[in-house]
Amino acid sequence: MFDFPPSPRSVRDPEDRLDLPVSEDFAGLLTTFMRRIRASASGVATEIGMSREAVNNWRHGLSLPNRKHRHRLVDCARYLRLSEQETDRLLKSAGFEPEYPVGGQAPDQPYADYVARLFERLQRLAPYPILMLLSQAHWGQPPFRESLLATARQLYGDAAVLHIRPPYSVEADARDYFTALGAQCGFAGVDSDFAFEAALERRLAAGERVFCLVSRFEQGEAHLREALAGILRGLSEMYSGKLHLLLCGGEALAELKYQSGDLSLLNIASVETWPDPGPAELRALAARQLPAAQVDAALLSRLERDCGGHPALIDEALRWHAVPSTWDQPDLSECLAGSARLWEGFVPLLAEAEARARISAWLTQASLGRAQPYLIDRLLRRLFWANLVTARPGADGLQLEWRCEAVRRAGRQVIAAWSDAGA
Amino acid sequence: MSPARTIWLRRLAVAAVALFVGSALLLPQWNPLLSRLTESPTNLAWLSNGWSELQTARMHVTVYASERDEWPSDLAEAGVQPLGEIFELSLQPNDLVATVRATPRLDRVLHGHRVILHWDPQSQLWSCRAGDPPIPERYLPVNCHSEASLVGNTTRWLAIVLVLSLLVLLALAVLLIWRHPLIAPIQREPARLRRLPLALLPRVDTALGWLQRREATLAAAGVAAADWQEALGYARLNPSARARLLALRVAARCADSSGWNLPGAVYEWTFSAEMPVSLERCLVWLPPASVDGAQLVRHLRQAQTGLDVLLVFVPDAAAEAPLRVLCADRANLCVCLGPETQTAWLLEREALPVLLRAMARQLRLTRISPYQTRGGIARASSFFGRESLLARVVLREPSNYLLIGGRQLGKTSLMKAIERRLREHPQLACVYVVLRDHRLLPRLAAQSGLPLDSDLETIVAELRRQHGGKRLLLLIDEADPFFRADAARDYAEIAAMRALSEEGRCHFLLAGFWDLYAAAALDYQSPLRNFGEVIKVGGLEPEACRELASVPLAVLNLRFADPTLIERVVAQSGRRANLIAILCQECLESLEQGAAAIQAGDVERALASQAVLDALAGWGRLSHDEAASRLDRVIVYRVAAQGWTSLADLVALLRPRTSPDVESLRRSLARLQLAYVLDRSGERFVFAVPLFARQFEAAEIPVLLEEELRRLG
Repeated sequence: MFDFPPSPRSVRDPEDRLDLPVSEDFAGLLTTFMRRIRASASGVATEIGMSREAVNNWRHGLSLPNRKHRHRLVDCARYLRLSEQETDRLLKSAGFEPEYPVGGQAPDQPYADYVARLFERLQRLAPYPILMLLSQAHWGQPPFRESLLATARQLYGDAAVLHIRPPYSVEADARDYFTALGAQCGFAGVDSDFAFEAALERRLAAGERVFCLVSRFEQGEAHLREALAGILRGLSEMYSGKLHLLLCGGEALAELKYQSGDLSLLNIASVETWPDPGPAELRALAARQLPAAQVDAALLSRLERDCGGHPALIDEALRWHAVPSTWDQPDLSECLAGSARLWEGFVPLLAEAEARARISAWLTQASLGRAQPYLIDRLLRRLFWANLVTARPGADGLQLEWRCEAVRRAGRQVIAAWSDAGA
Repeated sequence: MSPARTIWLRRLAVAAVALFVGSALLLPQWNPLLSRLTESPTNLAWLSNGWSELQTARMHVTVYASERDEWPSDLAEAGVQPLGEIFELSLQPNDLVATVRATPRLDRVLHGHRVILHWDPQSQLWSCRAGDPPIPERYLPVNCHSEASLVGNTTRWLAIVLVLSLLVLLALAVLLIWRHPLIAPIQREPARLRRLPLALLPRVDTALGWLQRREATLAAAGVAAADWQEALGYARLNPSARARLLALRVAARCADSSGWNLPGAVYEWTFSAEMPVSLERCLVWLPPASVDGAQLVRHLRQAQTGLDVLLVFVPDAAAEAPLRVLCADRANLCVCLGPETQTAWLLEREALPVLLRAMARQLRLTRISPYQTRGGIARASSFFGRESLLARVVLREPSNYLLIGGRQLGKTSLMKAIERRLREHPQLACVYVVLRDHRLLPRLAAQSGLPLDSDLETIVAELRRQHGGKRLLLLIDEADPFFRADAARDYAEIAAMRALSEEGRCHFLLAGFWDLYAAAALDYQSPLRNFGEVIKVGGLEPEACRELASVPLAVLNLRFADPTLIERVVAQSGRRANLIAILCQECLESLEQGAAAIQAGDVERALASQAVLDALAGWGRLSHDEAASRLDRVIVYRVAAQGWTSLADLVALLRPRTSPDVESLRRSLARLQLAYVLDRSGERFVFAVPLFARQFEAAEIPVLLEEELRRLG
């Protein structure tokens, strides 16, 4: 069985003084979040693939999640319908790095220009203003949600902005699902899909222009998600141009669009992928964590080169910069290669020998081929959504490249560790 | 002709006219036209000598006749010399005839002309009259003029004065029309009337009225009289009425918009579904005339107009220049409409092209794209072709239909077109329903306002009541999930639908993809087999493809630089309507600012764009059966690898790994054809859309094919 080897000079290493302090009581936080939606230990355990005892041990403070179970804690946060900020609080309380280190709830978020362009594009999508906003791992779904909502309220008016967060649980029935959606939208008396549809239709029939942000569209039970998609599609069709939809998600949402032809809502949606941070965004992100004097061109250049636009690596690099360090500059890339989040990205992809061989070969290449809206190669696709590769302009159009040298090092190290474990 | 030459020619013409008019008034005898009508002084002088000769002859004849009381038999008898210097005299009974001699002293025209002096023996007085041919009356002595001629002479001169006056007036009028700074350009080019600043219209109207040229000018300019009156009254309207009048002309609904920190009034316009570009609403600002342009710009920069296009109706020409500079920047969403544009807006028969041209000049073209790249086409102006398919439904007696085709091929657009065409049908009402899951009846019940558990018969009865008792044609989109679920219930609802349609109360058009097709065309036991006529939706007709590519561009005054570029777009898209629209949209995206024509480079960039690849993706799971989908993918990778495949080729490919099921292969090939992924060419299958092959990297195809084959095995 493969397990994480001791990572070399990771930002998580306590001796490097970069480990995260456990600021809140994990057990208390978990209990609070579970009580909020009346989730049972067995329910949580079933959803995240752990034993009930393990979850109970967490709740009672008898143990903390093992570091290899970080992804299960992320699943747990989704099941408990936590916001990005709450998810990061829970992870931090368990001693993990945040899942959404960039794009929290800061009011002066760095992607203001992009958000403005996003809404401008939405306006142009007449007569069906439906936009899918896809983001790779470690970005929120959507990132900078509050900023998006604030911009929407400014453009459409407070009352015309709805924020739908489909419940995560696959055990929720139609009544629970649409009751929750109705409550999120402020619709009274919604207890079925037809009631939800009727309530939303009343708003549109009154001539109102409604903006609806759907976070994490792909989560939850498939048939309920399809019902929601059908309602939104039907109302878009009937009230052409009135219902402006921003559907947010990641890999699973992309799969729904490109692999399942049944959701015609997604067929007629235009796709937008959350972009990598440019110099302006990097500067704004750095300014949030570092004193202004430290944010200079050299720092931004290093962040761009060493982190390759990966939000978690940027976060780790900024943390590293935030504390006095005796490290030489060239060590940053090596340090980032030990990031647990990179390792967690690689490990699930390497179970098959053939996949390991292909990834090993790719790790030696500068370019992994032509980028496309939907990558046909499943392995390449998973690398993309794990945020290990990205699309960058090349001589022949957009090309897929490893995000940065740290990612390639991490890949090589994970494969080497796997081989060692196998040997 | 060079300007200098024109100026000289003009000067010569003016000099000639001045000489002509001047000579006519002052020296008519030198005027080429009047010279024949006026007396020549030379003639008059010589003729006065002649009159003296005649006077002498008359005296001799008078003496002879009075003394002898008889008329002399010849002149010699009376002692008169017949040949004088001017006249040659002869006698007739009681008449003395004087004929002008052919002497060079007189004009040739007078030679041989005569005057007759008549002797009255009773009164012994002479009278005078013109001979034959007569000497022109103007040369005769006054006593030779008849009374009538004396009166006629006066009248003639008065007439000449009148005519000349009229000519002068006419010349002045012509001068006014052709040289007046307002009227002259309109008379030379009547269409200019539609481009005059709005404030000048009342003056032009007065001038045209005075010249009695209003109706003719309006007709020549193509302006309706009612529009003209409306435009004249525009200045007197309050801002709200102005905004509504302007909105009406572009078929927009106008509503007040409050909370703006802008001087003047702001309104919100909502355009109708027929708007040929992707603009559903906009803001309209009518600034007051009292604020100058620079101030308006300052206000505009400060205003937060969000993401809406803002139309600025500039009050006067003075304010226009600064605003136009601001609006010329395509990065903002402001459109400046100057006084001339406002006139065009009010006077053109169609105001919408005026708005579209102004927006095309001042906004990014992608903001007002005329192409709809996704979803069912709702605008009639954006729907092209499919006439034969439409005719099969619209021009026949109502029946049941199964509309079958892959996604984004145009099923919904066709249904919406059917709905539009049948909207005014006297006996048939169309109801369009989009299914969002398998539940048809609850969906119909909700739409007709009935309890969700109502049965089909009740629902149809209610819908007929709502549509005045007309027969119904239910257009049911996204019918695959319904059909799958109904198949599991032994087609209970299909049977009910068939019963209703046989009674003629309601007919159905079901749109879907594979499940519908497989049951209707491939399954001989399915009750759907005879349920209705199958209509397959595939590529657009070639001519409709060309129209789809070119007509929307013309809305924005754009075009393809070369017709072969349109052919390339049509060929590469495989005549898929949404791909053509996407390609044209991408061409617009790459069009340089101010360019009016799409070039070959723009087309090539569009063909390689991510938007096209995005539209082509999504063929990997055409069936809910994972094994069938895998077989589909094997076939697609095989075609990508070698450019074609066939049933025999596929059997040979699969045989080393598994025993191939030919029926499954045939169904896969049928499915891929229906999805417009493959097209049949004889025994071979190739990609229906040439662009489809661009999805695949040569190096990855063997890997992908091998992976699918391994899983299949």
